[in-house]
Amino acid sequence: MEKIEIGAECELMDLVESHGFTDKEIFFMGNIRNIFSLLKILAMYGLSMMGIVDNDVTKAGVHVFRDTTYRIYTAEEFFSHKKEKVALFVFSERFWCEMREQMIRKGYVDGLNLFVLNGVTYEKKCRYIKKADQLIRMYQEKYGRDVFLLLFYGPVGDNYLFALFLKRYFQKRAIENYLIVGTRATKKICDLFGFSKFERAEREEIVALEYLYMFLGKDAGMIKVMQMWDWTFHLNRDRIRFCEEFTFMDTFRSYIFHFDDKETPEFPCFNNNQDMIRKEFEVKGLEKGNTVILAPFAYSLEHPPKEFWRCLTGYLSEMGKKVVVNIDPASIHGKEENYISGIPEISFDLREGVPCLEYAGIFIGMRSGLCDIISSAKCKKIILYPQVSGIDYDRHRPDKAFSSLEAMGLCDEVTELELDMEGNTEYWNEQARQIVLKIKQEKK
Amino acid sequence: MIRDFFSAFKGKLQWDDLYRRNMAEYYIFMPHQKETYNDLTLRYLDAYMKKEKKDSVCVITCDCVIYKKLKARIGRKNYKILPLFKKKEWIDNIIKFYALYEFSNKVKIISLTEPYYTCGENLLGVHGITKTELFCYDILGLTEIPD
Repeated sequence: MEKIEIGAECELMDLVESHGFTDKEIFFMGNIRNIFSLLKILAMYGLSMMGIVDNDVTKAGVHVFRDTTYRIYTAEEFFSHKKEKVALFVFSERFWCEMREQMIRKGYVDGLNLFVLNGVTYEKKCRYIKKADQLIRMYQEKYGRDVFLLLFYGPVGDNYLFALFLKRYFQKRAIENYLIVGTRATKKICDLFGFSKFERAEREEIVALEYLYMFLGKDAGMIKVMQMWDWTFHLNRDRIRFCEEFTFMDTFRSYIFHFDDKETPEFPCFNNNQDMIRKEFEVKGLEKGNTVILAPFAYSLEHPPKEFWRCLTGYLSEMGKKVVVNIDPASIHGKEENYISGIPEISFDLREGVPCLEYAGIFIGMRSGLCDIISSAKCKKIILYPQVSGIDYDRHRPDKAFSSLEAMGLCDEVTELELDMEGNTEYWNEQARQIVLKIKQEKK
Repeated sequence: MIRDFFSAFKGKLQWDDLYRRNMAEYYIFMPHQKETYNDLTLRYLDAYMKKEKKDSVCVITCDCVIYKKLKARIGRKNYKILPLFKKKEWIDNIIKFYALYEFSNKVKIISLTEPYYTCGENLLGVHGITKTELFCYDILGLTEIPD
């Protein structure tokens, strides 16, 4: 199927080859993390960036990113440069529309001195819709014209929470012929829940189906989407689900599926292969019921420093516990690094998650999607949350009140702690000591 | 789908014309008639304009009662109001175009069901959530209900 996005780097190369820009002062709008790779493209053509334009005046000045010095200009400083002398590249998945409009109002012209990279143009959008239509036809040919599509997208934990209510949703809507379309993470969840009808889709295909859903409106009754993260769904995004009285479970039970609060999630059966787990533990020198599985990785929230985990490992070892760190070798963020020296790593298939934890005895982890999946494990669970002040209605609530496994109704027996991520070495040492104390007390 | 594209294309022409004629800082579209959100728009328009720091707004509605009320406000606010009465189909075309392509960030659509279902209304009644709260948080993007 035809690829629509060629990527910002390729778009920039095409633009440099067609426009030259040798006599231009080159500016960018967007985050340096995204722009950084584009600077190398410019360098290939003997060009360089003059600076980044940012509407936040507090950011103005000289900064360093990965040994590269760059300057942030305020919008007013940028406007003082002659329009005919500049080329401004806008690169921001979320704010490109506003940035572009701001510049157009100031007299900059698309394709002359204003260029949006990876932007969504009218023509591109039409191609996306066409692509989605082709995909739907393909699915209908393979699965029948009455096929009902469930579009999964996002991190594995969200896929899991989505799947908890799926069987009930099928019953409620009398759906017999379903097809789940999603990513690699979705496939793992489908395997866990036993949903056999699955088609892997590329990011671009998922976006295309989302665009189709938006475009067809009430005529898109054959598609169910999880529309809470993707900025594709820009129109009147739901914010009320982040209000104080809500938990993350309300997002799935009420917001996505429109069930009342009596509807209970349907948990999957885990693959309890004790022999395999025992062998794995023996090889790593771990002991049944006396092992602590650490899970320090979570990608949507702030982390404690590495020293905290090292310190905690030290205290646990002193206590006679075997400690192992959970690593996802195929994380979408790259292989996770075990930075706690002297302890082994463990990687388990999601289907073995709960039995593995029950075999170990203790789990200590940051509140990640993994915690949703292992929530039903009958073992000592300590889940850590960042202390958060205020509610960010535009993104997510990582705080304990909202994401707590207990408040979400995922489990009863769990210790959930909030930590101050600004804490100093002493604070982290004390937190590690307190956690170990809790384990000791429970033992008594 | 051809019908949808045709509607969006008409919406594009209509939007270009609307924008050229009015040059307002903000455009509010009301695709529903006799809808609580329309009344709430009138109630909270002042607070919203203050939050957005806009000096002029063009409100396009297919609800004649709302249109009359808006007209009565002309010249009585510290921002400029340009009320327009249009057929629902006319408004739907522009909204269909907006669903295809986010052509401007000066647009606000007073709906949680058009051009597509945002799922926001699934939360009505959950933890006592009212239409007013949904309107203020989900449609106006506020974080509290203004006085």
